[in-house]
Amino acid sequence: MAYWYTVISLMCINTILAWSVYSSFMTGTVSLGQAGFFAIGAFASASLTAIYGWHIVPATMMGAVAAAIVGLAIAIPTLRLKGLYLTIATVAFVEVIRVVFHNIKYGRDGEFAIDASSADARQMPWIGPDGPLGFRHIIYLTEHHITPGEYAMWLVLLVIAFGVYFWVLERSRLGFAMRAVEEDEIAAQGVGLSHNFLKVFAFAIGAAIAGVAGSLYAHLLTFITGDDFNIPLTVMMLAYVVIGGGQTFWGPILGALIFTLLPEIARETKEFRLELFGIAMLATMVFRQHGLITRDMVRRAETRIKTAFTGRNTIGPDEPGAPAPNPTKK
Amino acid sequence: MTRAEPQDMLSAVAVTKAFGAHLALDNLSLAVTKGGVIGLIGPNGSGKTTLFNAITGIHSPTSGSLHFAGRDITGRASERIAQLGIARTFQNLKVFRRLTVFDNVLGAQNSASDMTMWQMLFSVRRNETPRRDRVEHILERVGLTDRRHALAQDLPLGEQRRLELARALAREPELLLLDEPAGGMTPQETDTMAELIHDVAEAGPTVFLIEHKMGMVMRLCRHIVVLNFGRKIAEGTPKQVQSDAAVREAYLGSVARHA
Repeated sequence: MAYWYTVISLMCINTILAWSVYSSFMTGTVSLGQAGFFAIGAFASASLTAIYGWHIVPATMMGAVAAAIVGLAIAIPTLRLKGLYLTIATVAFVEVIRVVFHNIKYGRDGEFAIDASSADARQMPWIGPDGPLGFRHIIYLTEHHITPGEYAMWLVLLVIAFGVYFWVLERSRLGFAMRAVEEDEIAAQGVGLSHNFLKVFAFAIGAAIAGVAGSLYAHLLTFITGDDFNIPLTVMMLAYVVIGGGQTFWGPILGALIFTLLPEIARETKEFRLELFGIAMLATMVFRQHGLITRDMVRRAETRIKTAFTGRNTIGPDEPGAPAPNPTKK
Repeated sequence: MTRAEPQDMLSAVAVTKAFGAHLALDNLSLAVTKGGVIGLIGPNGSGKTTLFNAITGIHSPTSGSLHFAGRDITGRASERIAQLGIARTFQNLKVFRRLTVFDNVLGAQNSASDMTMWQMLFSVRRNETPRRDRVEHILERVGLTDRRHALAQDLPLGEQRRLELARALAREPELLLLDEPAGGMTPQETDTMAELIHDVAEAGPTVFLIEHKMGMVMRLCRHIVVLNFGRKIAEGTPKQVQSDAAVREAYLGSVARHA
């Protein structure tokens, strides 16, 4: 059972990561830097709980703030770059962060050796990141008797909270403005929208969300190293969005779920796992360029649900490309 | 040398825009006074769209200055200029392709200037009845009511041009820049567009119009500015411009026969 709790927790973390990519994706920015923000959130929050004894909630928030600040510092100079150049700049950022956490060492001596005669006692554990050895003993969850089941439940609630944020965002003027920037920057400016501001904002929010995921991940695994936060991971996060569908916030959820579950289910295929994966990705890209869940699908589903709740609707929900007009009108 | 007069809606003072060695605008000065439709004509490559791009802040001029309603807008960010009350359409159509017609117009309303981020985040669209009503009204004016739930990219060219106009109108601008609004349209569509522009100008904004269809320009405009090689070669009423020797030579000589 604990295994499945861990899988659920990982699905939640990956969903949050997928949304962190999606946040800037909404403004047409493809970020490959999320692993860097993920790492910053992980190391910052784990430092606060493990070294300074903070509660996990403020520690996670600080992790998010740290990631957002770094996100702003990255976004302001680089978002002037267009398309591929920006993406490459964010990749470089991941590598920089990885190397920093690979080499950094700070913290304090641990004090939990109870049996002085044991081998552990002679080698006091180091609390804090320890260069290439990584940050071990992030034992907040065991210290505070939070079971894997409870942790998974909190994560599910958090996913719902982020889901609500994106649900509101997509229906708000702000989300609308972001979409306009994605569609055409010059036209968006022409209607008075600051594309720089919107892109930087969306990017910083995405960084903060990745920071939250980093904290959750560090406390779940209890052991992180700089090398965990590498470029394959960052590509994977982008794949959640691209495969699941980047037009609505539902797509990234599906992408994250598939990518977390599939390897678990396909464990039997052993070494062919990654090959299967690649084939699945290729197939999706060939047959569904806009990802598995498109905006049209979501719109049609919404119309159908509305029709189901409000009784018979006069307009057929299956009209191609033309969902029922706003039912509050006329 | 003209100066920026306070009563001018828009004025350009000695504006030069260089792309490398090529002068797209060459020491150009002009003034647009309030009201009606003002035409901007000239052969291809004479700098008309470049002037629009300079006014709307897409390319800031190499030298010279631009003034709108008494304010210096030279080199200001494009969105700031839009917020001051200049709206435009694009020759090469820049609708928000994957948004619906309705959303294209809705999103263009004065969102960034009169709302804070929080208001923008929590203004869930269905709760904005007055704004939505205004959108419906604009769509009715341009004749796109039936298409309001179609994606912009699915519209034929004529309707996309009208959608661009609708989006610009949603800004409730003081100055409306139209860049070939009838480009690629059939004669009937052109007539409808001409009427629409006429009505728009009656109702409020000053319209600055780039158009190659001379019949339409001569009918609509009270004043016309003619460019060639980035310089102003003539201006005046349609009659004056038509009889101007320099204009005939540069441009109308060949086009007048079609008009």
